[in-house]
Amino acid sequence: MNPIKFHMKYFGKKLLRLFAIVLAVSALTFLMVDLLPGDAAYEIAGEEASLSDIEAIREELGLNRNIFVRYAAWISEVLRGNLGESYNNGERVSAAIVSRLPVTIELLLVSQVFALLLAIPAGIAGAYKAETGVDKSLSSAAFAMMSIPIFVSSLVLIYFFALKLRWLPATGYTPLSEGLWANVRSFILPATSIAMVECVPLMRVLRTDMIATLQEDYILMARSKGLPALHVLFRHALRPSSLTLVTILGIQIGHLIGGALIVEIIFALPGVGRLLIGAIYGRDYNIVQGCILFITVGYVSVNFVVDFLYSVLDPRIRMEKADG
Amino acid sequence: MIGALGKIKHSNGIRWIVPIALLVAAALICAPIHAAEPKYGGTLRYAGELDARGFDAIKTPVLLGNGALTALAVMEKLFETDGDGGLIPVLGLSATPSPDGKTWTVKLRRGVKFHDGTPFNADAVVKHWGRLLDPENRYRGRSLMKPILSVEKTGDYEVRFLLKHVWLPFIDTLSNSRGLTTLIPSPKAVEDGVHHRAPVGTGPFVFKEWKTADRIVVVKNPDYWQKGKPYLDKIVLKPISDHETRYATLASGQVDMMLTERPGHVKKLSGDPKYTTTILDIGGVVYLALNNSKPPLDDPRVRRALAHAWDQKKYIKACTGDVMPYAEHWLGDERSCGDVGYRRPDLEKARALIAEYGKPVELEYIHSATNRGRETGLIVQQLFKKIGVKVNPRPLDFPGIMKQIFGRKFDIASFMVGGSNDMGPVTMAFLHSKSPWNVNRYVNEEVDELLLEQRMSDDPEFRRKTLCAIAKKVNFDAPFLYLFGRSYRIFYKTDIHMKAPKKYGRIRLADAWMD
Repeated sequence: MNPIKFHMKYFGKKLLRLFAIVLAVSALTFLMVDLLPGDAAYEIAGEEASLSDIEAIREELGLNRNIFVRYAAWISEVLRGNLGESYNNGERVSAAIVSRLPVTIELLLVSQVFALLLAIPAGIAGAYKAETGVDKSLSSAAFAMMSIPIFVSSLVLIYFFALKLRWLPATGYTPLSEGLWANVRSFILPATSIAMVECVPLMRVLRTDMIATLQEDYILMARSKGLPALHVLFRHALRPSSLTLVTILGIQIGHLIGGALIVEIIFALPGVGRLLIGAIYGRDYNIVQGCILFITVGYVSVNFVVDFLYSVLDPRIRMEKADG
Repeated sequence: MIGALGKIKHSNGIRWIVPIALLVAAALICAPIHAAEPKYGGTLRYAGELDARGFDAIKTPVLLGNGALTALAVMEKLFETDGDGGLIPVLGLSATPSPDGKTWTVKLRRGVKFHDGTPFNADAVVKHWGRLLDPENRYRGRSLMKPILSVEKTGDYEVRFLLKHVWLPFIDTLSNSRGLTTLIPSPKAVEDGVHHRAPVGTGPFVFKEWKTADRIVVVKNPDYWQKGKPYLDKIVLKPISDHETRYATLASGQVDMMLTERPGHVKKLSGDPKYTTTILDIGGVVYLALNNSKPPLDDPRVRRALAHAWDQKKYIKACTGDVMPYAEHWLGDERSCGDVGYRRPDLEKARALIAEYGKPVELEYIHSATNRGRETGLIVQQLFKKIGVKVNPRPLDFPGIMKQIFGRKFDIASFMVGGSNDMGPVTMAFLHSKSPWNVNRYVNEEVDELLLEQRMSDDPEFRRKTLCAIAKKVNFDAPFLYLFGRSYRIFYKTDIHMKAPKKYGRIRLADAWMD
């Protein structure tokens, strides 16, 4: 088959499947949020409302309609590009998500860069010195980092670097428009908190894959040619050992698109995660649905890209697909 | 200049306010905590717990968190209250009652403009109040101002409020800080539909930006009608819901001021010379609502038993580190009512009442899904266990709690009643048997009668005594249990200076200045 035709068909099928996933997730979320006790009308009405006030609000918002009718109405508006507005404060859902995207994306990128900076050298060192004291020390340190809850490591980082040393801000987000350094500073602690946990699986899978790669004949050949160890490790062994690493990275990026909930709350970062959690508590259905839709699309898109990257990283996968 | 203000003084008719007394009250209220000369400039960064919920009174009747501070910086009332029933002129100059007390004429300040250039006049006031009173708009604060029939324009700078009957709480309704009712918005901004997210008022600060859950920014109004004010250039209000994070934000110097009532933070910050404290008594009480409409809590013996098993002082110490005030009623000013028959801890009496009831008592307690909510659940469970009452705590978030309460599907639930200078309307709303706001479903015909009497009376002393009598009767019946009175603490750096908040009022960042 023509490779271009093949790829179009392959990715076309994949896209259709992803669209079905997005629809299914949005419907499921709609149902789950509806099952929560209380609705937006109680939140909007506040403590000084009466039952008739709540009924009136419910009618105004269309919450007294059947759930299928509400879902159909919501999805038809979405298909027309209208995500609606917040029940609680009138903000447009699309604007609410877009305004939080820079925070979420920057946190995602910086934390993953930090995680890779920790995981790649540690994974390679663990594989190169497998079963030695170095490997065992790195593994122990990794498990220790993973076993500390993220809220604990976040608070410890705040205590030392913000309250004691006063090197970095304890909380909050400084936009890029107020200076690059100020912006980066506001992400160092939250990104480190995330990276400390997320680097561990990356390191472990890289170490395992690299141990296998280092047994390959072409590595033996490279070594026998007298190439320096670092050259062999980084130029010849790292790339073919990165498939699982990329998969895990994809999953991590996927779930970080929805925001790192705890970190966003502890560091008071106005990201998508904080928006979503506030909306769930306030039964702000439009915001919840909008966020879930955005997160699902982001998640499946990242996995779509990861699938594509497989074939870039390993030509054998490309050939397998072409062979049918 | 302060004009002649109207105020009903006591029984047998209506008396006029003594302007001198008001001047003195105004002067006292305006007296700063720090007598130093105010300085201009600077940005004040404030961290509160809750973000704003919007600024359109129809959509958001209750002022919460940073929304309240923003609204009070951007918009203004007709009058401020001095905390003792007197009025201080703001956009209104005087409020004068008719001889029968059923009409109030309010003269308005001239030469004031909203931030969008719209002139402030009688049309703006009538438009605002007309929206609130229009039944079509279903304004949710109307329960507290039912006696107001209408508002009409009687001149370019004069309006008249028509009441169903003599109603003393009217002056509180014009001046309290409970909701957006009292704050006059730009009619143009409301009509254009922008006011809810971008409020426009006549206040000392102009709204600049609201990034939900991140910050609200207001900047100095260069054309403010009170010449020389405000002092600050800018105020940034950040909502930080997590208490530890909020404390860390203040301690690391990222904000200048924060609100808290967490015992650990109060202790640390109170002992730190870098900070000044202001206690904000917001009035009202937080209580355990008991469902009086279904067994076993429809039986007064069970409710009274719980009241005697409940130890408010121990609870306040254990759960709030003695930060929150003790309350024997919801009316504020504990001493003014004397003995209101508060049921003190008495396990023997409690056990005897349960024995008299003669059936096993098992209750579900719905509390907030917060640390304090969970702690309260455990304390309630342990205290009632001592008298053989089994309590199953159940955490829920706000909409969940409200659904259970309005569906009457609860036994015990955490609830609160707000504070105000005049607690008559609030008391009427939450205790009258026919009121839809009576969440306890409490029914006592004598209390209903007293509630109506205090509502119709033009005698402040009679009303005060009647409200105290109601408190006594309610405590006898024990339709709910008191958790604590409501107050907050504001901690701020010592280089910030502010006026003392008025009783049941809010802090006014509009008057703050920095060294």
